[in-house]
Amino acid sequence: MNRTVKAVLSALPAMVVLVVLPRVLIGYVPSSAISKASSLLGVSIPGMVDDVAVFGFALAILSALQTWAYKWSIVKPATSTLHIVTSYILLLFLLGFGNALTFGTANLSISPSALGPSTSGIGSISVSLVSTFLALLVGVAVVMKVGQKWMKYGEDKRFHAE
Amino acid sequence: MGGTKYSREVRLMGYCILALEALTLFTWGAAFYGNAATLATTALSSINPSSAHKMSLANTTTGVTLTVPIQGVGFFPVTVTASAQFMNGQNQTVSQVKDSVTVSPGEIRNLTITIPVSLVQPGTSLSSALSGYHLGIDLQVTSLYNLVALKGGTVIEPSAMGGGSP
Repeated sequence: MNRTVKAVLSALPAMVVLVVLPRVLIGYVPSSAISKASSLLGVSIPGMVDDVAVFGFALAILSALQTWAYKWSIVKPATSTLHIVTSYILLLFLLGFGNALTFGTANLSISPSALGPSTSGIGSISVSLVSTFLALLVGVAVVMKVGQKWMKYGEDKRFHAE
Repeated sequence: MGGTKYSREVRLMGYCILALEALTLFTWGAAFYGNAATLATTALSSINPSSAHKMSLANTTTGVTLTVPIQGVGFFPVTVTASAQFMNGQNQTVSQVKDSVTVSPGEIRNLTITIPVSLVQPGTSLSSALSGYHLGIDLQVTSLYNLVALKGGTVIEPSAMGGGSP
């Protein structure tokens, strides 16, 4: 198969999963339910879908580039590294419910007023889901993966030169 | 297109990465399940009147003691920390009570919160005694050295407890 065709095909999974699918799924949910969930959790759900789509485009381009590049070209490990790091930032973004800087902690501020009048007198409820363990160990795996990609590149380059 | 046969080090590293990722996902999932299941089991059995492990309220010489039996569920030890902060109308902390308990899977231990006698006068009901205070409540369920946790907190105003500020 032509490597350009391969490159285009390799970009498809990221486009489908991160760009098309979230938009299709959100299309099935009534807009009133989305705005209620957004105000309840203090997170803009349509904004998150847009941000995930940006990650989807970036990952699709990087997938296409790394498939298109020759194994012995510096483009291959460079795009692979960027792809791995972008995927990791996407994981942190999802774990942080739209904030990658919290390193795996989702901080939600639930507004009781959105639940109904019976909750009057109760202040904002802060909820944190801490997944630092996942963020930390996946970070270790990312470092190992990047190292492995460059080791592979070194061997491919040597193999090509022989 | 023939693939390069990579060295043993590169292949070994690949297997290590796969094993690390699988182990990480499994451990994280198990820890999160343990935290959520411990919280849910404790909450359900605490409020169920027919449960053998329901929470209890007792008057002691030091104040009113709330005892909640925490049941460990899952695969790892889980630490449950509860704290309550009593604040006056100017949001100044009048008193703070806190307790923490670590339970292993299958184990049941009591979490005890004692509301001091200075806040709960003898002869008054708990709700009327506390009705003048803003009450800050924090609950944490953690495992794996606090790397996996569920935390929650809120402030309840005096109006929600049926009274005004002191």
